[in-house]
Amino acid sequence: MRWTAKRRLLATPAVRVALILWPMVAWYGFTQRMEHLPETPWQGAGQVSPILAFLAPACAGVAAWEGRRATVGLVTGRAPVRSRLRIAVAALWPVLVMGWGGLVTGVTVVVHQAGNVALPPVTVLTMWAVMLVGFTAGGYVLGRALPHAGGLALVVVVSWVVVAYPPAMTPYWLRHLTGGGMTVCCVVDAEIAAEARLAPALLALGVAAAAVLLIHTGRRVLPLVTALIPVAVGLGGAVVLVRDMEAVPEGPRAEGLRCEGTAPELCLWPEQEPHRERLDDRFSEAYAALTAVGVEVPPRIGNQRWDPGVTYLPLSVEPSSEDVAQALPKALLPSEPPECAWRAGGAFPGGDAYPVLEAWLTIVVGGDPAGPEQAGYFEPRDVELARRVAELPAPEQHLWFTHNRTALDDCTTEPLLDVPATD
Amino acid sequence: MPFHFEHCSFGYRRGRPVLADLSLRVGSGHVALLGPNGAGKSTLMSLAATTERPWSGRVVLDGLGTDNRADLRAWRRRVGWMPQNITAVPGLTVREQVAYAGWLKGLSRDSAWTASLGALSLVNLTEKADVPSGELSGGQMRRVGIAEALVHDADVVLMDEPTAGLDPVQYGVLRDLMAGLSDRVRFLIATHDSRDLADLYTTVIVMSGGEVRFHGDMASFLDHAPGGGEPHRRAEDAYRVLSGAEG
Repeated sequence: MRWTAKRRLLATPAVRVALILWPMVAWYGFTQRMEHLPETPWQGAGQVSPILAFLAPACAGVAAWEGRRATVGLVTGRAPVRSRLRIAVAALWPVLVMGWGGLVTGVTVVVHQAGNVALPPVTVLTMWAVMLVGFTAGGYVLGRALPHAGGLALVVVVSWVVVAYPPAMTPYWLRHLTGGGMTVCCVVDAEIAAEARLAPALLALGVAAAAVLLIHTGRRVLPLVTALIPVAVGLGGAVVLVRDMEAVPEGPRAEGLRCEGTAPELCLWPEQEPHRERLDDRFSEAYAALTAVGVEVPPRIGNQRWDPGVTYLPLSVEPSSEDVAQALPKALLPSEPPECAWRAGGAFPGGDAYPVLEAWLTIVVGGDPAGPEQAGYFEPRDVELARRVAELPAPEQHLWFTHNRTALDDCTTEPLLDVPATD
Repeated sequence: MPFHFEHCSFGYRRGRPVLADLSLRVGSGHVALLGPNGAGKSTLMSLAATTERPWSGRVVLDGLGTDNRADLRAWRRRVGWMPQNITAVPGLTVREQVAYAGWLKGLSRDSAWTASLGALSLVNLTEKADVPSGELSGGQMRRVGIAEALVHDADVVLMDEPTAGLDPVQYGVLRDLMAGLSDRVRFLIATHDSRDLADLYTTVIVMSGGEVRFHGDMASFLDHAPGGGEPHRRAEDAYRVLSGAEG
């Protein structure tokens, strides 16, 4: 092997660290519980993202060691023909190979455990790769400036804190600056938000740009101040992107929803598509039963929270018939109390009607509110009332439902929490 | 060679110039730069090596300036540089360090690796090629520095105190090396060492207090010795007179 590769490999600590780091990452991947991994194409991102807590400090630490080597070895004092940037790139590419190799190792193990469904999207992989560039470049600059063992330890600890801590911090936007919140993303109708993919990359690019500036110009005060500009731009841009995000870095899933059928028009994601025929039959039965008692049914229904034209139906990736009986009543009832209920001192008597209505709807659509799937969800007295209402003639059930449904929308209607008297 | 220092001022602290409005044209041949500690020899060498830039004035090497990147690269490619402070590059063996110095000077990795062995053999250090450079003694480290300065076939070699810490045998190696390379390399060497001055150098510059006290050929230099005797003794005497150390 020529010196070009062999000597470079022998001379860099990145190789020795990789020999420890990659098995560590693989071990971490193998110890993850994959049986709960939902079969959607982006959950792998959440499974893999914790390995950044290994990779980022490793990249920053080894890069800092290279920076220290440049300072202690008086590299620029040797009047080099090659630019400072070229010298840094030569020192840092093995570090990046080490980090990216760890990323590939982690993804490979997770995919091996859970199948291709666990493969994180290319954009997320790219974002992580860019993050490692930021940590590497930043580590190198800090290693040059703090060329002693304490400086090296500081770089490793700080970079670990930057990756490991924000996912548990508030405000929530802090979680999305270093890509840490992905462990809780995403259910079937969502994907990792573009903002959450962009923000960490933007910040990392800001750090990398500052590092390039400092490497290029050496230790001078003005470049030090100037280098704060790309960091500020990167950080500011990243914060603007994620400042309104909640704890889960999710956004609407862009593609794949297919709406078919007439009663109702059922919207399913590709992962749910194999169950369409069975679901169509189940929904037809449920819609017929609901229509028979005068419940108005939404024409278009499916697992999509962000489209106002689709009534949201929280179905799992592999929905059973019982899931329909559980999900459909929720879809027919408001998801939140009315605004008046939140006012100070405001009463919301209709709130008591919600569980009874849900239990009754469950019975109407063919489910069992006292069944094992719903164990502990309903109060027995609500189930008992719902059963008694369900035994009434359809017009009376309709009147009872209409009254209580109205009570859910205002704060003045008293709910009917008893079986209405029959003529 | 010729280095041309035009009205150069430089210092390490603002308002405290080590060199003030210094003008000097260093001609061809092997040049010895003599002077006591603090005379400004290392500063002048750093300017010639382009590791420092003058506050004012300019330095020119055969028409090359340091203002644009291409000229600077050409300058540095032509000049081998051994600073006074030679350090081990952590994590590298002796040969890797010399090869790395060659790569820094613009050689390809392959060429630098090949040339490193040649440079180490020039300073009799091939047996230490695979030893971590951090394990070498001070004298051996200076020889590594010399090898680094020679690895990329520079036509001008600047060495700052290359003989400091060398034992007589190692000194002999350096002397023979300079003599052997005299047909293709020109040396500018800052030194306290007046041994073999008359044999090795064609030109002498004596500095003191940041000023050039003498600049001339060897014969003129030796003429400043008050008495006769061996060339070695006369060189010492001349240096003492010119640097103001006498009396």
